[in-house]
Amino acid sequence: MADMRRLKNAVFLSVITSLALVGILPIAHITGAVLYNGTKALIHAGPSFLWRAPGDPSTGEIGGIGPAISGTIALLLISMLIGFPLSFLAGVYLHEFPQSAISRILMPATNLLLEIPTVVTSMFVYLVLVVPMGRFSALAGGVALSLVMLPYVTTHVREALDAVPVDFKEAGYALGLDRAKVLFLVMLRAARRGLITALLMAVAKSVGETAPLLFTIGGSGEIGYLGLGRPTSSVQLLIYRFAASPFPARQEAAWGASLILFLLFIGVFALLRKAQRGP
Amino acid sequence: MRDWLRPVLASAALLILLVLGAMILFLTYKSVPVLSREGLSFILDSGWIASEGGEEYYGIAAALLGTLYTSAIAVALALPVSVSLSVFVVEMAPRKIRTVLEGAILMMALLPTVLYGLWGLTYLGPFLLRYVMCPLHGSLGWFPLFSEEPKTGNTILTAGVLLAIMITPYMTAIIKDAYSSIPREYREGLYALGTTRAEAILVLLRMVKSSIAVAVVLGLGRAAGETVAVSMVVGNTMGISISPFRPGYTISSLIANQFGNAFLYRLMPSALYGSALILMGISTAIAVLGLWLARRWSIKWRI
Repeated sequence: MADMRRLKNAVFLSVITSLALVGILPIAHITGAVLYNGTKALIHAGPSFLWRAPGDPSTGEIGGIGPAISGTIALLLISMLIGFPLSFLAGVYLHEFPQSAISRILMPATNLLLEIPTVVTSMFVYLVLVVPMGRFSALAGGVALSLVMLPYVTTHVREALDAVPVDFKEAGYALGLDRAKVLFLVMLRAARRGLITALLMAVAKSVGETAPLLFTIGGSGEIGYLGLGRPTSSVQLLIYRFAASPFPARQEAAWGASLILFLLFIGVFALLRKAQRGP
Repeated sequence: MRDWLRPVLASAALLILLVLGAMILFLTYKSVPVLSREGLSFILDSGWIASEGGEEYYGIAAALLGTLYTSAIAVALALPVSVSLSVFVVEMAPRKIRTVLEGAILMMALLPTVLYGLWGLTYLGPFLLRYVMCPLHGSLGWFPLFSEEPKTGNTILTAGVLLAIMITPYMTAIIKDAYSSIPREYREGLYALGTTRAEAILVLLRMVKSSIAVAVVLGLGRAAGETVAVSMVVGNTMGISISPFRPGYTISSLIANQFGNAFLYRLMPSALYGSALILMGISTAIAVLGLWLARRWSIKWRI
């Protein structure tokens, strides 16, 4: 009887362990695949991969992803400039006035926004920006990305402020400071770790999402960032389009681009982990 | 002018609500042509007939079923894995490994989706074709689920497995938070009763079953909405089959593939806005259910 129980225990624990291993295996394999194939493509294409335009695929020339890199950086900046302030203010509002009528709608609305498929966001921005402007644009892509980061940042900002002990706020008011001063001089400083997390989360979303760019930026690789109102390409979209190409040179370019995107992502991710775990 | 801050903050909040409202209104407005012409058969029929000048007809039943099928596969596979991962991280892993695993889980949640797609297209699809689909069809081909002869790695099954990998970190985050917040006394009490580790874990898991339910619901919602990775591996072919070994479509991949050239046709844009409306309806319904359950059982978690 006791042996039976011991056997069951051993079997159960090994099932748990192996399933956990199965769950973590893909990310290890993906990391390895991106590093291996990406490095191979980069060595094959040479350092000019970072600044040249994609080559003519029929000649087998890889070329580079320079334009897409400039596009991705521009899209990151545009989306941060639009999305972060807006969602930061909304997050502060939710913290300061949780009982107001707007908050009662906004709270569930941000959760809803979080679950809206990002491809739908892309269609919406196409309708309200691309069609009226008459062409695809970096601005449209930036707006689509900022809509995607909105619910994440809003939630993180609110939670960061909520986590500050209420004594801080009371002490501020007791000194005769007004709401804005308490917020800027006391609260933001006390909550800075959480706010940095919110900021990095926004960056991670901006470089991580591809679907918002599908119907907004237009470019597939040759053109870089030329201005707010002009089409542009991005590394994410380039990978998406090139991966399905029948030309080996294009597929190699996609792997090279995936390494660049991965390194960018890992940089942001490392900072995020550091901010979350504290000193 | 004591509180100039409030109007500034409120206008940001209002702007977000306005955008959300506009999104729902625009999508509904744009779907009117196809919905008024085809009515319910838009979601019940599976013909996708695009023609310039001629008679057009759009039914999204195949894509709708594809979305449900891939999401169901994803959640069915991700559930045991996320539960095990949660238990392993909280209960069994040494401190150092726990930190590494938690980092890896967060990394999985945030990894650019297009990298999942590229990996799925290059490795997962061919792997499943060779080691899962071909053997199963060869030995158990009479069984309806395995009846389709697998010809490519880009299938409903591949999309389902890839989605399972992508939603595992989300489901794990929810389950792990609940599991690790069970008070210590319960665990001590169980061991004091002389239970084995496995017996204790099973009792503790039963205590967090509401969180597991919420994880299932929200995982389903995530899976239904994913676009880029899925459309890279699902095969993008119209058709309905009970066997997941054939290429298919999901609503999101249908939109991703067709929206670019939809404007050559009269009714297709409306059909795709209609699809988006249905997709948003599904995601919203699932999210509302999940969030309602989470609130009812006061479950909290962090992404």
